[in-house]
Amino acid sequence: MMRTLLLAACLAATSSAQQMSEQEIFDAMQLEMQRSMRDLRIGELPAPYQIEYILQIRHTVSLHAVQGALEDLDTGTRAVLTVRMHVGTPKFDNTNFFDVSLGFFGSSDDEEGYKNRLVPFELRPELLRRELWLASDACYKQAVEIYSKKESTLKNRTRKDTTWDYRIAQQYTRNDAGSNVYRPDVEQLIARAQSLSSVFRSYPKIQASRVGIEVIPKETFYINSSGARSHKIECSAGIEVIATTQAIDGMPLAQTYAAYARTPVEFPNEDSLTRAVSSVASVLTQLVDAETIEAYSGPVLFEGQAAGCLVGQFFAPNLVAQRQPLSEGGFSTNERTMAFQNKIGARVLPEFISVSAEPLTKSFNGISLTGHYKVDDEGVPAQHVELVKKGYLQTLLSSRVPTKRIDSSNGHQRGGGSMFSVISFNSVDAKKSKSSVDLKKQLLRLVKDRALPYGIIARLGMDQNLLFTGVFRQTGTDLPISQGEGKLGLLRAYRVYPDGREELIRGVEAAGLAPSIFKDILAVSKHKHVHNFLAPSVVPSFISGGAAYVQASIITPDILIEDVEVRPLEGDMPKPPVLANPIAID
Amino acid sequence: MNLTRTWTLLVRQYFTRAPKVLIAFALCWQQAYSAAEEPLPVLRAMEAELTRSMQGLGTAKPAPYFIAYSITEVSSTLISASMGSLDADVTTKRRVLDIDLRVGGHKLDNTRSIRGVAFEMGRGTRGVEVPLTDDERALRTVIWSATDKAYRSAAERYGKVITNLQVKVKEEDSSADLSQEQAYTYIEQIRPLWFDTTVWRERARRLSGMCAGREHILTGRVTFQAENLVKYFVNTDGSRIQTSEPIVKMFVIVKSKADDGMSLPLYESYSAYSADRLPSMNELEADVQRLLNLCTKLRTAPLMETYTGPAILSGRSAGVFFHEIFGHRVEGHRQKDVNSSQTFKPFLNKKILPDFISVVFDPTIKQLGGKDIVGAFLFDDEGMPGKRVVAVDSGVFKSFLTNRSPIENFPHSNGHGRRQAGLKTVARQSNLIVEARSRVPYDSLKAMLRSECIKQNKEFGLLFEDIQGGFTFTGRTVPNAFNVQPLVVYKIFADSRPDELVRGVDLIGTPLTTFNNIVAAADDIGIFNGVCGAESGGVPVSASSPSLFVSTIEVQKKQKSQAKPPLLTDPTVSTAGGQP
Repeated sequence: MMRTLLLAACLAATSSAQQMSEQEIFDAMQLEMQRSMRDLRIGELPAPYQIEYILQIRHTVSLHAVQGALEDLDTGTRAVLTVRMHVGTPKFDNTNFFDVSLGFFGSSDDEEGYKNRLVPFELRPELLRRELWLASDACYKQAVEIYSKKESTLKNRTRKDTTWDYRIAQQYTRNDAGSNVYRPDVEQLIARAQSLSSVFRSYPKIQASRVGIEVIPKETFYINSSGARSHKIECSAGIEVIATTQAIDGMPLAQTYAAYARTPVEFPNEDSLTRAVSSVASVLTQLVDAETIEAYSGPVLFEGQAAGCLVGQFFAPNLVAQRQPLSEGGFSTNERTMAFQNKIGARVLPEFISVSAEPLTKSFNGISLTGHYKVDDEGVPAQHVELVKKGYLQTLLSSRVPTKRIDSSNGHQRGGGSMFSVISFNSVDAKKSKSSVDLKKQLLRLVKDRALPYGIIARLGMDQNLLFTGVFRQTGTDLPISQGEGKLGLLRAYRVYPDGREELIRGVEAAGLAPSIFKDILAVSKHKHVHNFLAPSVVPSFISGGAAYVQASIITPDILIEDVEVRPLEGDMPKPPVLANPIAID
Repeated sequence: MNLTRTWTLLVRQYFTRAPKVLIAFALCWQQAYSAAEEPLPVLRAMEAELTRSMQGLGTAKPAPYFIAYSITEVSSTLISASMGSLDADVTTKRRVLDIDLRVGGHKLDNTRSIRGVAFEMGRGTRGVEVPLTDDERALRTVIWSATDKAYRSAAERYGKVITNLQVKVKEEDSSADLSQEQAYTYIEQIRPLWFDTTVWRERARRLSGMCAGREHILTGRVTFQAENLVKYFVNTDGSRIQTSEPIVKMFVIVKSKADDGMSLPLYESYSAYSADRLPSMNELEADVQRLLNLCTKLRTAPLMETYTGPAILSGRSAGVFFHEIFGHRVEGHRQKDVNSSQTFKPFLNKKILPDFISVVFDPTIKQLGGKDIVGAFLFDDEGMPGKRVVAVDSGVFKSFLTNRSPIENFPHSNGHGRRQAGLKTVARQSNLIVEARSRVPYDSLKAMLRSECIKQNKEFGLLFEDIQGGFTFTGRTVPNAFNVQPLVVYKIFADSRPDELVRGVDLIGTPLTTFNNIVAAADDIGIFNGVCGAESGGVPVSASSPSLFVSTIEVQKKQKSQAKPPLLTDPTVSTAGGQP
């Protein structure tokens, strides 16, 4: 019975939700946009000069399995509408101003929504126009209110930054109407999650494990009053595996694995996935009895996923052009990813490394790049951008919001603000690009030179998305994992002795990781690794009103850094369970 | 501040995901209680871990003396349509494990209130998801892990409890922490109940579509929700229970906005134990039409000012009124809470209401006056059979609602321990029924109101025809006031002029004073089914009452939105003028 019911729900995800044709949707949007541009006025308050409508229809399948058994399954279709409006002029408008009260608490006036407004997914022209009408009305009222607040705030300040608020960009039309929205095979996804999670049944030392699969096919209709329009048909998919336990002394331990792709078809094959999950289980089991280390400062070789994590968390976010919004009352946003805002022309990496943003690249070495896209969220075509040339910063990734140094968009508005997408680290000096064996040898030479007892290789770093959405769920507050600035939890790290022997260590984190540390890269590997992940939006979602996480890809070689601080997790640990895992005794 | 928010009429209008499927979906519903049958694997897994945990933790210090496991399987289907089109079509299923693990003894254990602490950072389980499939091995692994956390939390808190008792003054109520009760075994067969999602989708579309194209109607949404809770329960007293609690609900929301900014929502809700007991399509259409007409009238209805004077509460309004001002104050756990005002504690066996009024809470009945009332359950969330409780007998206060946390003079549970899966069980209401021994025809009630107006030299009295919900304060640090939020209020003029629809007021007051003002009851019955939200989450309840005549009530101005109505005309209303 259970099976039948669940599958009944699953089938839901396979039906189409949208009844209007692409042309009808754009026509309805166009009509209401014209009316809003022409008629939305309140007295002498400024009129809109730019309006954007974004309608997104998502078909989601999300499920989890534990120990070979399905834990939950959600399927559904959801349509959301977002209206963005600029009032005033591009030189001075209502944007780039954060209203603390509205931003954090919203309006207390029972007003209609205009950001991610839930609208019927069974679309009809008159209904869509109605939703656009109500959302535009609410958006305009708030826009003029913010415009006035911004104007008033500036009257009491001596303003130095006269950068324009917005740039009207080249118009663009993209049409994916010929493509099909991906329809996932839900039964197959359930079977896969159950099969992968059943691996943990053979590992009694593991206290909790979970395999999650999510597939989100989506259609996005974008139109703006400058004439741009796009109809994008996309899909994102991910498998996330999280396992946790405790060491003999109680130290909480975690292992993770994640594979992101455009569709489940692009996931690694069944054997690869099973091997990856088995590796998670076996390494975590080994960690229970593994040793930890004293504080270490010395060379660290970041390999594979750990190198991707390092670049993705501590370097790539700084490549995004950002503008601190004005606000009332001295509120300021976090500046931790603004290290490169004034560094164009300066050296940010060794001279043998260049970095480029390659959003138009679909795959690397046969692996799908989930950060790939053709048109950004403002209807601007994606552009390849040479960001760092032989160590020197050339430019930053930008949207249509100008900053002091970057005046125009290079097509990197994603999720609500400027954002990186596909970042590729490239060595331009063959001598500095080494085989894995030679890179390890170089690490050991450094160890010897500094008379250290061992060096460290990191192979798995803590992914921020997995930490907050999965690991904490399983461990609660027990896991003293790195959350502070400049810290990266090393879930899989090894001591490497001068004789080349490797020894798994537990409970360590790399600390003091600042963008400047990348200048100390000594060498990189010849081969490169793709790290697809859900990157936290550089512009916080509470400011942009957009997504908290955005699909991104880092293509990076293994990275050897001269000096990194690695330290053990410290503090009081919860005791291990009193009773044995039931799978150990049955 | 203890703010007890109640009566959520509209349970989560929006779910995040919406499947669209044209098949019939099944929910499990037990219509007729049956003989004990072989328990499902879920129950077997729970029992196996219960036994192992009690034995294995028996040598720990402190050792558990009581463990209860509850797994609540929540199957939910939600279909929502706005202005004729679906905006949500969601099916979800979850199993949530709750653990009540106690160390110490019945008289004093880790659950005792720690006085003087504003906020406790607990590490106990707060509801843990467990696998949906009946895989005993997988279920046991999750139960084991959660039990370990619950044990640690209990042991840690027990130490704090012991210290707190020593450093604080003697407790006002030093009743035991867990009542001694007998064990119950009840295995209910889980049978599927089919309802046709295609039919309900179409009804939601049609009914909400009636709101489309209507000038000034900003919201027109119809929601159908079917939910079945299959509950599995075991404890170390030996109880072993498997039951199901289905509920089917419909909500209609129609909303407009007055020119002065006031939001004017109107709601209609229907609850039943099966879809076929919901009103017919003709009845539903008539109700939507009535709401639309009323909403249009409300837009231009005059604003009511602050007022005191006589009033009639319709049966539904009076039911909610009693739920707020009485029901929440007789929930047993509040009588032990040093921060609660404990309004009725000194009134045990004393008169609090007119002689002709009795109030009962009865979870054992599922229908009243031919309609389903949704506060029924066979066993509460502590494995105790739900019992009929006469709280007020002919005006005299007789009993609190209790769970297994004894209170002064009430050492046992009367089966009202309730919670939403994932939260801690406390005493909660079930089916509240106000009974009146002497009744008058409804029209006589109006005549009495007019006479009272003349007596009090008032131009008019008020008729509260329908209400949205309400809330009440039960703490000691704030006035013990209640606020009942009316949707439809009429002025009834002393000189028999036609009744006048008004807007913009809430009914307020304090319980004891207001009780004294109840004068008469009508010979009708109004039933309000809803979801009551308090510290243990949302639980289905009902409140039924005859219409009541109250000699004096007070109303205050309702909070009003300052947002203007839309600047442009509705593009879908052809008669609205303007240029679409």
